[in-house]
Amino acid sequence: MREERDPILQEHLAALRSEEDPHPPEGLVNRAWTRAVVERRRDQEAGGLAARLRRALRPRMVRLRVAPALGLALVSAAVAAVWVARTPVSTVPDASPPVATPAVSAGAPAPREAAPPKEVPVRFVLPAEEARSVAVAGDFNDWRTDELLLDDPEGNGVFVGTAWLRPGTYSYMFVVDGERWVTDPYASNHRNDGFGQQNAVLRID
Amino acid sequence: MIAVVALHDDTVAARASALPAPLDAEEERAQERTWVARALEGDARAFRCIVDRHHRGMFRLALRMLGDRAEAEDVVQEAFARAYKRLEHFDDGYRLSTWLYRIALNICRDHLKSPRRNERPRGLSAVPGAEDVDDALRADQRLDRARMAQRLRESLDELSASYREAIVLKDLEELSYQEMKEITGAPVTALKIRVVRARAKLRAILERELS
Repeated sequence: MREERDPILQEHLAALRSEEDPHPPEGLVNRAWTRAVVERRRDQEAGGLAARLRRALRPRMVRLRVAPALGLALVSAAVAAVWVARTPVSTVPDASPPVATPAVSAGAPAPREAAPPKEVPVRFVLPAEEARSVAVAGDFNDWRTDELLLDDPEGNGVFVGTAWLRPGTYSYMFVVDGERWVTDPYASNHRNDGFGQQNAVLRID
Repeated sequence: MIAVVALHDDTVAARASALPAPLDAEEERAQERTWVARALEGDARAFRCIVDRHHRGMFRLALRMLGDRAEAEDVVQEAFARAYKRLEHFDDGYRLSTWLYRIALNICRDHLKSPRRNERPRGLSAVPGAEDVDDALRADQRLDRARMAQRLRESLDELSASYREAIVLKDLEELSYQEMKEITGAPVTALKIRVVRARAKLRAILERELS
């Protein structure tokens, strides 16, 4: 297909080429570079934690010698037998109908029965009157911004939510409207993340 | 501390952009390969050199595709963020600028498809300060040129996204078909056909405006 050089079109293109401002906004390099560095770092942190978790959960080959394994099996069987003998057994058939697990509304605290004994409830609060959504992202959830969403139960712009966490030290931030990272103003400890932002630090003993 | 240090230490990027003699294409590619390697090793300042070298071209491309400076800046920021996250996947058999343009163009396409964007008033806005570009032009020439540029902006806005992309890459960015192929992934023949059709369509719109 032959390309035509149309004088009217060329004249208009030349006019636009010469008129357009080639200069990008001031500070664009800094803004673009900082965002790129922060997002890559978050990506790597999330990826690193996920990889560690995958490694920890990966099935492994376990080799057992026959004699110790047999001994272990005999001991287990003996313990089980004693436990069965001591447990009262009901002979009355259970006539009650099956009960469905109660539905838990989004954002409500997890049922206490389900939480492992060592985890403790941690309540997050952020007053954010103009926010449409608030999430908590931190070490404990691989910095996911869509996992721990806070609720505004009173409709007054105070977002609250509870997470069950094991003892340890965690860094976290609030994520407002899915994009704005906000430091917890009520946290007693902060840690510089190296990029001009402050992560809140939570310690659970 | 990386950001803090580099915000006050632009020396690497500044040195790169203030070189007295421009590098030839091969030297540029070698330099960029070094920057990519260093960035992958964790040297964020090396990635800053990449941003410094290519942000101007990417901004111009995004501005021509979208016609909005704020939106164009968003595209540039997002493009560099994506590029840094995927830097491991960069094939140094290609030019870095081509790879970055491809990322920016994909983001522009997403912006053009966004339903929210179509609700906004359309048309490329005139660029402030453009009248200062060439002081030697007489006032009436400048006026004619400004009218033509504005007419073309409005006409471009009536083109489909793929035709607009063809005109921007070929006639405004003045890329070769091979470069366009590397950026868009489309075969050269298809690109040539698209450019011819896009020009014909654009010419028809211009004629309507002129009459």
